[in-house]
Amino acid sequence: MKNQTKISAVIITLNEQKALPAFLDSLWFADEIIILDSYSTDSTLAIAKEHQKVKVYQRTFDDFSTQKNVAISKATHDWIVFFDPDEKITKQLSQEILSTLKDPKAIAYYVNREFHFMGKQIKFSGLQNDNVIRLFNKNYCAYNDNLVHEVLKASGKTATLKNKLPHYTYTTFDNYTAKMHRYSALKAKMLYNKGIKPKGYHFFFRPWYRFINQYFFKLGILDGKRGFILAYTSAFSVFKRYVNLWLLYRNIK
Amino acid sequence: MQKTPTLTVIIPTFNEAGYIEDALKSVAFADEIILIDSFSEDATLTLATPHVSKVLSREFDNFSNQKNEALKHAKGQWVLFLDADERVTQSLEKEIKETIQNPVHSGYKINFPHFYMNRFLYSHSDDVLRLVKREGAHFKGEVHEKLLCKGSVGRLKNKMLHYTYKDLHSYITKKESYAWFQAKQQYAKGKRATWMHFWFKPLFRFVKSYIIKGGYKDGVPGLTVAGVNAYGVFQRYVKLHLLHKSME
Repeated sequence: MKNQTKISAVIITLNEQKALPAFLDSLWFADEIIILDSYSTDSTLAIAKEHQKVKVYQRTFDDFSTQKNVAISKATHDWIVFFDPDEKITKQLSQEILSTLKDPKAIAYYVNREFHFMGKQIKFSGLQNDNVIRLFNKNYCAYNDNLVHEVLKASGKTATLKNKLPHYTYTTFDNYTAKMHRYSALKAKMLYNKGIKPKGYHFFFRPWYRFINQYFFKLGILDGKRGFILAYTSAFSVFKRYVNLWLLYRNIK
Repeated sequence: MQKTPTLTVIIPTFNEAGYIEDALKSVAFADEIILIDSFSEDATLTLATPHVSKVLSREFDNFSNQKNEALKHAKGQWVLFLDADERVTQSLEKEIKETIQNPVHSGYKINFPHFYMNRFLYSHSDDVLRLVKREGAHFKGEVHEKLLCKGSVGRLKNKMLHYTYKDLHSYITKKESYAWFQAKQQYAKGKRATWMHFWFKPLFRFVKSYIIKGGYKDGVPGLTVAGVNAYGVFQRYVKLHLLHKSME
């Protein structure tokens, strides 16, 4: 009889005490759990260490790609599941992962994420779903070096799992906007590294375009007030990105 | 010889450790300095205590009550209100001394040009009543507190230095936490966030800040002030909406 393929679950964390206990439980199907923590100040580490399968490492956060690649390098097994603690791995999804790995036909598998915001699933706004690789063979995959919106590059055949992945980014509004601020600062740095200079249209056109695109073209209007709030927040985040870029060129904080 | 009238400086604080010492040094000429603190969690009080006449600790409810409480303790004939991120320059100090020696009015406005992203902004400089005769002076209004005095009001020529800006991130997060404060005030009054609020209030604020007040003359910093002000208004209504849904 062929042994079941071993799985390493990999997570990066920063102050995840709230989501972590349930999230670790949902990784019951993994053979080991690797946590790479960027020096949480809450009880993340204590919670992690209680868990039998968990191995904890710590590393100062620089950017998502590097952090995730380092985390993967700590895994013992070839097959990796790499979810975020704000994603809900349903029973059906974990069973699908196990049955897929009995005879894998690809080296990386996408899952379709559903986006939840302010307590409700977002159906439009262009944010309703996205495909992300969450199950892969580490010998064929690595994160690219984007500072933000890191993408896992898979060199080989990919496939998509059937079961959906609910994604609960929202805990509090301040938390949500704080995340957006971090992204816009990182994106500004990416543009700066590429030598792109802020121009008038970046400030006057891009934020409005983002709003109109998300709210009207992508039908955010059908998501009610949530759709409006999401579109405005994204537009502001675009605006802030270019202010950040302007500040970088002038060496002002 | 005429005796110089006495001056009390009142400073409200909450976690101002990085700013408070320089503010106190800039008003060392005052006869009395009263600090009214809303239970700072940093070193504000330790740093301030050697330089002040009196420290009051009071749970913050709103700016008016906070400053009115301090007023009750003031002994000077004149009172100057100062925030921890403001500095009285030497020329302003001289003008204050001369003015209270020979007052024409019973209150004086001071001009605050905004120092923002390493430059002074042409737009967004305000005249604010800050120096008043103690008799009859008091604050009114819960959110935008207003200082009132008995008698006519003049204006000083010299400007107050005001460090509103540390960095973009803290500037924005300050607006975000202030939005909670404003949303809770409106919630207590039974107000609801309507579509009108979401669509027009931020837009109006942007137009006011960028066009009417002349923010466009200040380049990217002027645009940023307008954009962030509008975002602050948007935040207020999102948070009012959340309060009605019992969400955070």
